[in-house]
Amino acid sequence: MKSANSLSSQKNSHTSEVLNLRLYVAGKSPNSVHALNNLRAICQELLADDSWQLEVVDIFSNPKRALEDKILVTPTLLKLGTPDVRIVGDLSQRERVLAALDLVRYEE
Amino acid sequence: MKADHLEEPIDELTKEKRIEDLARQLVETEAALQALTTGQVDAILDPDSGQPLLLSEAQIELRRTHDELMQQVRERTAELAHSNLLLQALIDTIPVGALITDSVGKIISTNATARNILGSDVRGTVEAPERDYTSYFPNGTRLRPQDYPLARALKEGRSVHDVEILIRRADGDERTILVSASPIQNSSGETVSVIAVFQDITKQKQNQIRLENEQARLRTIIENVPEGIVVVDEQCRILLTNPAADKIYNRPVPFGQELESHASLSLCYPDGRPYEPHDLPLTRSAMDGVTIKGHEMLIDWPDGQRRDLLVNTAPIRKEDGEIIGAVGAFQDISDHKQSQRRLERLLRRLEILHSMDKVILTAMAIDEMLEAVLPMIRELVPCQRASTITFDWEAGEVVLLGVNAEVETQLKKGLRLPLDEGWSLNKLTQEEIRLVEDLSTLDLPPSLVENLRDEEVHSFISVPLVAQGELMGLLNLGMQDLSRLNPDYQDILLQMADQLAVGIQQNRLQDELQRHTQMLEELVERRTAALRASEARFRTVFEDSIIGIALLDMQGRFIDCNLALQEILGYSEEELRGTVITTYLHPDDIVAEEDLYQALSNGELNYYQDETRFIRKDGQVRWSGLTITRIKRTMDSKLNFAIAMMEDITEKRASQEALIQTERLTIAGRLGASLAHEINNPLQSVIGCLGLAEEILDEGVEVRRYLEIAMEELERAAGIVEQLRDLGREPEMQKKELADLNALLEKTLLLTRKRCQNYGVEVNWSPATDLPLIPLVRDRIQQVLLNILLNAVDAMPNGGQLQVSTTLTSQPEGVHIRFADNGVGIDPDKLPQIFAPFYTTQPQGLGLGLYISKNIVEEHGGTIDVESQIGEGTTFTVWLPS
Repeated sequence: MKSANSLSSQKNSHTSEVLNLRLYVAGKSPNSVHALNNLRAICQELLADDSWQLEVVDIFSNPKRALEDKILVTPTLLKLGTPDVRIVGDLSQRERVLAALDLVRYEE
Repeated sequence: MKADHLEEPIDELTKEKRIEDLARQLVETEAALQALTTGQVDAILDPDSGQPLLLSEAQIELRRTHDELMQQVRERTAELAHSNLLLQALIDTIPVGALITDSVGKIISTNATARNILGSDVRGTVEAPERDYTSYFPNGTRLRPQDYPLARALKEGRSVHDVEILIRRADGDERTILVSASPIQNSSGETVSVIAVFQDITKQKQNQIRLENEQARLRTIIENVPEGIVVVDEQCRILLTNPAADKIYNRPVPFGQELESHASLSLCYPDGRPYEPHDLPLTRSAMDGVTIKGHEMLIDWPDGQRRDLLVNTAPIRKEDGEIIGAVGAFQDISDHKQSQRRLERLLRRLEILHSMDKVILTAMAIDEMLEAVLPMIRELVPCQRASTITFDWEAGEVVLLGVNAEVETQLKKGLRLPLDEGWSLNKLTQEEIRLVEDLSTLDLPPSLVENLRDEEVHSFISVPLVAQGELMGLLNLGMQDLSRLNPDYQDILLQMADQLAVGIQQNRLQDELQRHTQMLEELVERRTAALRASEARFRTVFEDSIIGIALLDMQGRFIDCNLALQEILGYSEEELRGTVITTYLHPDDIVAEEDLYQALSNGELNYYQDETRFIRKDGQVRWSGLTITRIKRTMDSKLNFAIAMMEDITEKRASQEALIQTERLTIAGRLGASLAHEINNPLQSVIGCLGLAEEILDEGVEVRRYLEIAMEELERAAGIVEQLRDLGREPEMQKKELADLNALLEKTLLLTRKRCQNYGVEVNWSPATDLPLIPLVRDRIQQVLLNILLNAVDAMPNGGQLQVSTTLTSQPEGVHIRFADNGVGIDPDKLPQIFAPFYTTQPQGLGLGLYISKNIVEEHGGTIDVESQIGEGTTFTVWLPS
């Protein structure tokens, strides 16, 4: 977290490592679609394109990976790191999402 | 978070990391839970197989089930609401009131009818209801909560029916309701509700009461009406009778028995035939439905009395017209019928009496009258024969005036029989009807009795005919026996006898009247003849009278005159007729005479008498004594005719004037002696005075006084002489002058002093003071006074007292001169004549003194009156106007 805090507050700052994100969805289920849209909107707003990376995993086509990541419900966002951070839900609560992804510093 | 992970040996850092990890997991889990609960999760993964379960499908399934259920609920609810609505509407619409409770007695519903009947809503519980009315049993006891049908049904778990309750509403209205209550039980037999229904029977109740009252009234009426009321059933069995009916039947009534039993009631037709029970009016009404009104019948009572009944009967029908019986009303009209029969008889009687009246009034002869009247009598009092007899007292016979008989009779009109004791006249005159049971007991001629027997006459009734107390005759009715007479025959006969007697009397009076009229006519004829004779006599008197007589009309024109009048006036009757009588008078007298005639024709005078001058045809002026008398023919006082009587008094008048002159001379003679003395006295005085004067003249004394006396005496003597001269002189109209009457009287008294002394008459002279001067002719009045004084002295030959006085009068103004002597007085018979000419009681007098005096006084507009009493004296009173 301390490293995250040291990141520049500017959008296009590429001083820190790339944010690696993995979103588990259940096909085109509404909450899953909302979660993907909300996440993309936040990232595109606050981060430079090269500073974030998102993998979307559909549990219907790839349930094994969900079991590997111990995912129980969809949508669940996984921030890969040490430790991993998990966020369940459609990511409509922006503050909570920002807090979990440690992106508060980029918020204007 | 696996348990094995916790059992790993851990260092501090790891420990811290692990705590941090756990906290993070906790936060993540919490957030995940939150996301799950807020619906942000799409699918759940099976932790064992990793098989995802999509959350949205489960939800859709769940919602679908829920929606189906909800739809069902809504539909059921709507159905329920609808049926509820219907139910409530139904309950509200039903015409009975309804109260519904739940299982514990809480009142949960009332319908509109209930609220309307009770005038209030009802809430609360059965035990403690909240409402605005109070409830009572019909007997007035208040209902306790447990008495309510609702409460009883709830408590007892069974229905309660038809409880009558009186409701006293808040608005004061009272209603009677009929209540039933039933519990409603569920399948397990528990009471879940109680419903009470009730209806307003106030009107029915009132009607019922009214009906009961009506019945009670009807019962009372039936019990008390004077008519007998009988009610029978459709078989005509008697169901009911009222007391009046029992009284009319007057025997036990066969209640409930068959029709035939009615025969025991002994009902008959008016002609006496008994009724068949089937023909009775009540039977016909009950069986044939006939209404019978005013039917008359008879009933025979056990005691033998037969009563008249008036019957009305009518069938009694149900509403559908079926006959269920009949009612009969009976009236006992026996008394009424009897009265009616009596009345009819009475009416007939009056009718006949009236006819008799007419006959009696119009019949000219007794025969004619009896011919009409006797049959009428026989109609009212049936008999074999009716006859009228009268009495010929002079011949001692009875005369049969008229007869009307059932059969041919031998005893006819005009029959005469000896009047003997058999008629018992003394009894008859007492206006009593005489009944003879058996003719043979009378002392009548045997042939008469035999003849009557042939006509089946064995008894008879004799009624006296009495008018104004006189027995005119008898009305005889011959009959077989007396048993069948009407009860009122006496009245009838007496009344008819009265009429008949009046008729007979009237007839007789008429005869008498005729005779009387004839007599009167004869009398009138005789009288007329006498009158004619009388008139002829009067005509003769008129024509032959030596006094002129004329008949004058209202204007004084001659209508008729006699020969004497024609001779007096010198004109013929033809010349005189139509001329006015006054045209023949002397011009100086015409006016006075016309005034008198006018007074006569006005009715102010009935007659007048006058001496007047007239001019004959030959031009001679002559004196007539004329008397004209008014003949009053009508009530009107205007003159119709006057009779004038005229006499030529020229010669008579001349001789009378000569007589007056002679009288005057006689008076003068009578005065002679007195006058000589009167004159001698003053002369003696004069002589004495003059002698005295001569004597004292020599002595040089004043002689004037004596000379004055002498002069006065001489003047007195001269006055006396003057008067004497006046007396002998022809009277001529002298002018009146104002004179002192007292002085004149004194002078006259002086003239008669000597004569009074000679007769021993004492004169008391009382003159009135302040007497006014009176207009008079001095000498003439003195002549009057002298005359009265001398008469007074003559009336007292043996002396006496003479009161002479003057008095003033006011209405009219004048002076009374009164001469009252206490001499012999004048006979009352002669008193009226003393002022007439030539009337005297003194042998030497001419009887003109008072006559002249009266004329003189009247010339002065005065009066002279005399009053006298034999032996007490005479008073003359002269009044002269001032």
